[in-house]
Amino acid sequence: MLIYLLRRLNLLVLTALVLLGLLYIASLKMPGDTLTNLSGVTHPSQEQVARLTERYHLDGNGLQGYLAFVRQRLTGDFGLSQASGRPVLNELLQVIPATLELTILALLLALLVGIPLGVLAAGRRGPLPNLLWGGTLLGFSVPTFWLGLLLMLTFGLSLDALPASGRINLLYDVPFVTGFMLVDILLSDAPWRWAALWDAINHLVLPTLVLAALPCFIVIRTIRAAMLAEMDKNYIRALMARGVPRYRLVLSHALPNSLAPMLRLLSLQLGQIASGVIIVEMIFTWPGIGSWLLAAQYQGDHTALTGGVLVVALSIIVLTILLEIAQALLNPVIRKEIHG
Amino acid sequence: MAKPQLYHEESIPSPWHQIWRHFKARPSAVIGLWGLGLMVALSLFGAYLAPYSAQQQFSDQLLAPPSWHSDGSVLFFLGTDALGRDLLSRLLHGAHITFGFAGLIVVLALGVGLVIGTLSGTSQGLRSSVLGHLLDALLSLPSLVLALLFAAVLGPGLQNVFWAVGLALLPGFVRVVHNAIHEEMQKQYVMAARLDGASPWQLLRFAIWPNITDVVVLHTTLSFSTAILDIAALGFLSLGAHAPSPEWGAMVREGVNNVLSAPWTVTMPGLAILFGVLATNLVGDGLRHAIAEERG
Repeated sequence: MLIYLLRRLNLLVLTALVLLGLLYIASLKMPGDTLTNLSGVTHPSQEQVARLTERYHLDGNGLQGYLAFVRQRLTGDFGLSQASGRPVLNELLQVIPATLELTILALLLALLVGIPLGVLAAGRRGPLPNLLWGGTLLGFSVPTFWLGLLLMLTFGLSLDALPASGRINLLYDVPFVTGFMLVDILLSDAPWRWAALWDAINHLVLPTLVLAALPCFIVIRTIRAAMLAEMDKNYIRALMARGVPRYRLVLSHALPNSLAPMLRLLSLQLGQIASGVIIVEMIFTWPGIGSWLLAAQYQGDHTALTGGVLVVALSIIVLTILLEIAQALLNPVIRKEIHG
Repeated sequence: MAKPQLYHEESIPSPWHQIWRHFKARPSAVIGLWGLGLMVALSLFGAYLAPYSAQQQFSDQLLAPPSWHSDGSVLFFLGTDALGRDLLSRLLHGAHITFGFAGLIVVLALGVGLVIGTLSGTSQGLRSSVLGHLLDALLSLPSLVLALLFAAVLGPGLQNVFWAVGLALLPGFVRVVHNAIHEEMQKQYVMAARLDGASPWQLLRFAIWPNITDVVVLHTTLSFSTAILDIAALGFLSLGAHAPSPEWGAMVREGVNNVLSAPWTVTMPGLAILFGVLATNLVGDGLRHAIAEERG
């Protein structure tokens, strides 16, 4: 197990270095002044130029420059945002909680809805499994941005039932403590706190639904496939022969075993989920990392863009490896496949 | 006319033949195949079928509703957009961007992925590990984020879409080919072929590749639907195809401004994307079932 962990760690470091290399090359190739793109200082004075050139080793060879870039980024110096002049890291810390709040809620919803539906879809009688099967196929094919627009159009604008954009009504001035809106509201002791909480939840409904849609369909299909495979196995037949009731067979024997592929699947879908987050945040003007990245792109703020991309990609890499380790902990067979 | 059977010869259908037989037995898969064929035909010949050009503006017909609406005219079958351009013509002209471009990207990613995956799948130990994990850094970058980077470096345009979607799809192909080859290499028939003195190339050509084709084809259809959705999403975020372009995602983006007064400018391109992806997914689903049934 120790060797396995060391290998994964090795992989993490190597992938991160390759990623930083790609980003370094991208920052060198981006239009505009290289020094500005790396540091985010838009109109550097003479001494600033000298200091930054030394810090980023731009006068040295490419390798030195790369190593200096890696050192800067890993010590938490992401440069300044060219648009606002504030450190990129501070801006990131402001927007990341909003994204996390939305993503975590959406994933929870996807699992809560997806697992029971997946079990139902694995049934062999009645029209329900076929309906669910067709439904997921249709759901896979709907473009996320289009689904978001349609829901916003019907529930947000035509029916006026739910707010169509933003995180909370601007009337409520919630102090920034953790950045998680629901937590912040509960922490504040304002008299309008319950009204604000209700408002924040209303704002969450549409983005969470749209973001949860794709993972939910994936969960349904995976659970269904895994359940069908499990139900054919011998241990299930043995239990059936002993007269174990069907609901116990499914819930306490087949289901736990078919949850294992879920982790693997989630780790493969992280990129898709991240894409979905960006689209959803853009449609519902959710002030998270996705809309922040898009704003940086439209403003030509290359420092902020590379910083944000680095954070998104690094978190995906770390999560993938954590999920892999979790799988190895749960399933000893995987530990043997060291080279993967 | 049925062939007279002179000898009691048992004809064993080839694996592909069997897969096709299972595929044919599913109505949904056949419908999907017809839909896919229609989309391919439209992306090849759509520009010749379109009644008007993609940019022709009818200034007296701004935001005309679709023809089944009481105010609609059959001259503009699906209605017009805010600049008076015929939506049907634009959809037909855009088919080769959204749909054809997706096909091109998938085929190229398939080719490159097959080469890298074969190299890493047939090698062992460190080399296999390096080749197999080389693209992990890319796998962690979703196509949208890649497109953001490419748009910053190259400026917005269709070339971003090409690189971003292609590079985002590539690691998946490498992984699928790598895993499939790795699995086949453990099997006895490969060992038998090797004992017969097959060279590595012959081993690949005659023993391994024919047996991984089904998995690869399945992954290709899945990647194809991903590619269509990605291209449309990039067009929608104006990171790929740009405003006057009749790319379907970009058309949705243009329609958003008038979504309340003219919802068809958003629904029609969206339905077109939905139709294309759904047809592809139906074919993919049918293939998956057929392969599963054929393998028992």
